[in-house]
Amino acid sequence: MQILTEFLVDELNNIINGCLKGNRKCQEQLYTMFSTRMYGLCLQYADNQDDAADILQEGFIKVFRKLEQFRGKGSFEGWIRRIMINTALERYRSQVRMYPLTDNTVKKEDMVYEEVFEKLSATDLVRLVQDLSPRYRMVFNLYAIEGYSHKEISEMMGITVGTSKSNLSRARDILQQKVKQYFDTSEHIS
Amino acid sequence: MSRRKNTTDRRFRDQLRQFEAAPPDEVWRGISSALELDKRKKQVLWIRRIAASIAVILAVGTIWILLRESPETKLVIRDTPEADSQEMPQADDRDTPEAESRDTPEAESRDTPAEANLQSVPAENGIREKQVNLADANMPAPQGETLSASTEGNGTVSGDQVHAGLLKPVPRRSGTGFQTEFTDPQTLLAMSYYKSTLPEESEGIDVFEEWGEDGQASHDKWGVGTQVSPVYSYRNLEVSDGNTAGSSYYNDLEDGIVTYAGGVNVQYAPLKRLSIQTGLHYSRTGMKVGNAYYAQLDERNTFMDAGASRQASINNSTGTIEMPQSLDNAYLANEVPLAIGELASISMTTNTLSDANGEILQHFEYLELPVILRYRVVDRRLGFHLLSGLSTNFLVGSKAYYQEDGNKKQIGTTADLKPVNYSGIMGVGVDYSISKRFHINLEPTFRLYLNSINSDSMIKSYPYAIGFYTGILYTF
Repeated sequence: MQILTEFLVDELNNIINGCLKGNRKCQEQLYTMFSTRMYGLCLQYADNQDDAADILQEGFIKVFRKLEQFRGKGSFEGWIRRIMINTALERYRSQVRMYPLTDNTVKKEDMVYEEVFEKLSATDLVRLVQDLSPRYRMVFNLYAIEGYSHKEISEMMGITVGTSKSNLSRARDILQQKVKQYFDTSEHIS
Repeated sequence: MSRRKNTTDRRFRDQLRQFEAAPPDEVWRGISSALELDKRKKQVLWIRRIAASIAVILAVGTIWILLRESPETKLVIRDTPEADSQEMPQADDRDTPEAESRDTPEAESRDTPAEANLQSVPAENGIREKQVNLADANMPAPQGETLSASTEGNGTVSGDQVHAGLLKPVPRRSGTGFQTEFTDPQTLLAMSYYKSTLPEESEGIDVFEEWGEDGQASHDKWGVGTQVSPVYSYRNLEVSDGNTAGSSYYNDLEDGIVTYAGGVNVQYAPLKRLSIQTGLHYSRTGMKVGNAYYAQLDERNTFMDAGASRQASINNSTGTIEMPQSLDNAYLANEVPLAIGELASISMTTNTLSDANGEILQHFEYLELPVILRYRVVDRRLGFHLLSGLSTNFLVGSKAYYQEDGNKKQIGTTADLKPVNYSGIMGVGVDYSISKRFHINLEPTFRLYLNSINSDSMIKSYPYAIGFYTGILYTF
């Protein structure tokens, strides 16, 4: 297992070095290695598949342009993932609209039972996340999926910690309601 | 509730963290073409750098040559006929082969006595500052009686003393600045300058120029004035990690606006062609966000839940427009369907939306302290000059307005703007002297902020302004 890991690391290093020299074949190899995982990530941050494809394209262009800035510290996949999230964050910020800075949504108990989730595929969950408003989606993804703290999220999004917390709470409520609706509908159909 | 304990968080994270999906094929094609474009840009960049270096060298060289050609050229003339008789014997004495090498320092030193009777005056003929000896010209044998002492048959006059003796007083003639007398079309015999008593339109001659006691042209060193200008202003965007899509999004949505600027100036001119100016200017720059509209909310369906803080903001490329808390109308910009979705997502049941044909205006008001250098390329009554400088700009206002059908209402202020910024100034100008002291000017000027005016770390906004400054200057 360790030998396989070392082999993969060596192969990745060779590909990265090729990319740094502008080798188009290596660039394509790098893209092939990570594109499906990153597209899966982008889908969670986008309104739809077209937006996700745009984020993926912009993100990978940045990866190739900034590849020399990757110092080899930490996971390369983590580095790419962070670039994709930053790209999604920029798109979110570019949506010029009025957003309430504060919200006083009341916390609610978890209404959805564990077994409800068992019937939902990952694709179903992505679709539910995509249905959230951009701000709720962004806060939920950054907190629940990526593990950022509210303080980090407030800095990344330019909102207050309180807003981040209330947005997360509201996002959870909406998701729970939608999961329940989905469950009720499917029960009714079945 | 932590993310680990929360069922919703955990369920979503478990399923989505490793979620994979095949992207469309056109994504790689887009990436590939962008990388190919990068490669070409790098090649073009080198060519541009070389071209820019050549341009800078040429510009510096041109300025150096222009600065070297000081207008303070001295002409050696005589204005006393009596001096002729005193000078002539010397001229004869010195008309020897040794004196022919008059360009040597020794020959120069012998000129001193003769210069006692000479008057040095400046002229703007582009000749470098030096004693211009009329004997430098190849002269034929003079025909006048005062020139008969020249006995050289070859027509060549050697030595400054000889040439000084050849000078002939020219009768005063009013109305012109310069008078010349030629024995033939190509030979200059004498030049004399008389200050004109009446201003006269004379192209190429500074009719207001004064001559000091030392024979040097004097010019007004100080000046005060005022200028105003209509200004078209907008901004360049720089996204921190080169995301051109982000900036192009804003560029599609936003646009420049026309405002105004003006102020008072003080200038000092150490040289006739060169002046330095400072002053205090007020300038209003800004931009507008298109496709704006507002949602009029009824009382029962407030924008947020009862008791919540009614604070709202619009994020755009340059700063964040913050609304006052007592917001009755929700001003929105762009993407109407999404905005409605946003409203719907916060449990609004009814609202009234107007058409999206309004604009949100952002004004950035600055007090500017400029330092501007001007160089008069054409130093005449109708002059032409180049100007360049720097300005320190202090933010004094950042109001934001909603505008629709000619009605404008302030909706808030732009936050996240830096209090102090710096801008570079470049321009050209024409000036016209309507009298000795008063001069009017017109200067198309370009100003570019050298640092971003917003505190946003991801999108940096660099405003620029194009103005046609016009004003009046009083010199003394």
